[in-house]
Amino acid sequence: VIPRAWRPWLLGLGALVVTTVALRLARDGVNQAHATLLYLLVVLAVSAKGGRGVGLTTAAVASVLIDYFFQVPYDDFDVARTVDVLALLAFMTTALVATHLVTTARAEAAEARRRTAEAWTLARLGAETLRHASPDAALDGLASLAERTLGAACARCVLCGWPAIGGRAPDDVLAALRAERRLADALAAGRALVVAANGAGGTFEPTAIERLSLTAGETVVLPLRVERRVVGLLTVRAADALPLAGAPGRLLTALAHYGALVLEWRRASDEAAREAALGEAGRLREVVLASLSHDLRTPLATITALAQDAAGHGDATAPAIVEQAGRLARLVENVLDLARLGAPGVRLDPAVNAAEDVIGAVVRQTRGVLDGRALRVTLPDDDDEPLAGRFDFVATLRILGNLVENALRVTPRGAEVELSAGVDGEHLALAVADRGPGIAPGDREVIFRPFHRLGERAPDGTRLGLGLAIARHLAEAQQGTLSYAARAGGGSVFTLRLPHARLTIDAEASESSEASLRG
Amino acid sequence: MQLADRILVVDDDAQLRRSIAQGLRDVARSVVEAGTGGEAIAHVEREPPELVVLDLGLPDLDGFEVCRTLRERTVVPIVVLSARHGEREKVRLLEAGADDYVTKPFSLTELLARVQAQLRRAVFYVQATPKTIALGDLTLDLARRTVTRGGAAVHLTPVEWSLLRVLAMQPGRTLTHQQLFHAVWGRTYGDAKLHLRVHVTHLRRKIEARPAEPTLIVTEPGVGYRCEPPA
Repeated sequence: VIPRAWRPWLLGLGALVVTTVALRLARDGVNQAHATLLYLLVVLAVSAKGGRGVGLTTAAVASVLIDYFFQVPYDDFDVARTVDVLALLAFMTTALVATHLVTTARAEAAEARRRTAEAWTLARLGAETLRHASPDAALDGLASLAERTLGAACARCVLCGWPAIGGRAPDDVLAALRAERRLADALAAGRALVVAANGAGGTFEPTAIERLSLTAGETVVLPLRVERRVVGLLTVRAADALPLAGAPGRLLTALAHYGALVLEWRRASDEAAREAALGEAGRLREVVLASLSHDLRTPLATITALAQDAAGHGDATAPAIVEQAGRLARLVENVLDLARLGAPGVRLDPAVNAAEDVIGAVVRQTRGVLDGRALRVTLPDDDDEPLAGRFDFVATLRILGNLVENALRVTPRGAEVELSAGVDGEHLALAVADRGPGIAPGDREVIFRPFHRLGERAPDGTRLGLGLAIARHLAEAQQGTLSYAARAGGGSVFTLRLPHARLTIDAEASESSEASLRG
Repeated sequence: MQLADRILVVDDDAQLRRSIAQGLRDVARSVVEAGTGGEAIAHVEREPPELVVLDLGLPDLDGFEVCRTLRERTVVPIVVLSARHGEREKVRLLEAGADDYVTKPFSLTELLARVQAQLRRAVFYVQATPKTIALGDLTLDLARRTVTRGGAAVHLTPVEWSLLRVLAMQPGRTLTHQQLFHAVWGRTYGDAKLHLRVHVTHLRRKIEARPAEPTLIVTEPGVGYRCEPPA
């Protein structure tokens, strides 16, 4: 077996020997021109096959052979005629130029093939990124493609997330990062690392990767970045000397970009999965609440209807049953609302609404519980522009309805509860004021807690202390606040502050076009 | 006052059904009862009632489907009883063809009032389209497209007029935001709620005695609007 490096030389030697022997045997039948042309052919063939060095050497040796064997006087280095010297020089020049041209073309072709292969590898990286069903499979696919491309000198290539390495990072890299805090910090800041077999590490700028050459056992760690954020690591461990100049360096740089892309994909799909799970839980919760709601309310409806029927026939206890069923119904509603408020995916839909619209709805809703008391509505004197805010209509109605009902409960028959609206800085302020006993200073925050104990001392013993907790929760869910203040002259004022807004179609033009795009 | 010959009550809870039927005997000469959606549909096909009270929680069929099926077979008012309080549910119901809904638990008085309102509206519908509609001291002249209060003209913009007319033509019936928007603007794209909020607010300022305590154009929170003619 002949070593690969010797082959072109042996080829050149063989070609020269065969040609010389053949021509020498036929020397009487050929002239100098035939011999020169045949040698030129040999030089071209050897250059094309063996490259510049072999080509030039063959050309020089061929000149000597022509001189010796085929120029008169034969078998002598002397040259008889000047024209033969010129012929020899012409041969040498032609052979040298031809060798140069052939080998240059050959080198260019080789370079083009190499570039094509590199472009192909980079394209494969892109395809590898997209080919896999899951991001983790894509990371493995990229790594194994890189290993194949880098060849036997690459022991192992790994892509993993950062800072959540997720059990994928090689142990020696992990050990080095744990041992030296500055290495981890440098990585987080976007620098690359070289970790030696003994665990010692150095940092460098990732752009300098092509100036690097790994020795056996060394590992290079490149940060995978999205914008300025480091989202992952690319580690390549060398099994043998692995120069990274040129194509390998470019491959690793591209791999870092694709790896970052896959990690972003993984993050996005994880987020989507989490959203879906939350949505699933939310839907399940909604189904449970809906059936609970049905199962609790239907018997209440029956009890109420039966009791009303009985009351119609003169049963004196029936009205009390109706009243108790009503309380139970309110309690059920509050408990279900509280359960709904904690559910993920329950979102309010704040939009520009007129204050008078929601106040009108409150007046209507509480009409049935006035029971000899009055609800006085006060609105600012606005000529054209109705007072408005950005809020969820139903939630706000629920808050105000609750506040007014509470206020009515502590107001004696014949007295009134005040419901007023106004602008307070950036806010639309809706206030419910009563002349009841007020709330003791120590209890003014307690009343907003769910299941607070104050309700037991309230005149209406069935209050579980849920209404105000729900009301505050609803206020905050729409960027509002709900607060208590003692009323001058006795009583309480509950103020709901919501973002102020103008009620015009133009004001929400952009929002509505977004809404229609979404819809 | 007997407003109807026959009312159909559909509810799987026999006790509730019976007490509703009992209450309805004041407004109808006969009340027929059905315990399942299938029975209800059969009843409507056999001897059409003048109004249906339909509980959505039925053992055999989905309440929405029953409502939709009934609506395909009859034009009579359907008053739905629902345990669900969500606004989306109400919108879905109204758009499935229900005329009104009452959420549980309800009082019989309330249900009777709703049933009576629907029966009156049905009578109103049977008559030829009127030339004028009276809403308290407000008079709508449908031919001239004018509104007067006690003889004095009330100036409405074309959109306000159209809103008022659509609502007044179906007194007592809640129209969802989309239904109203479609009827007034003739299109389904755009922010229906915003357009309605702006124009209803301005309309109320022209026709209501106290816009913050409206009695003619009532907001059904999260669902739509309803015209309530003064009794």
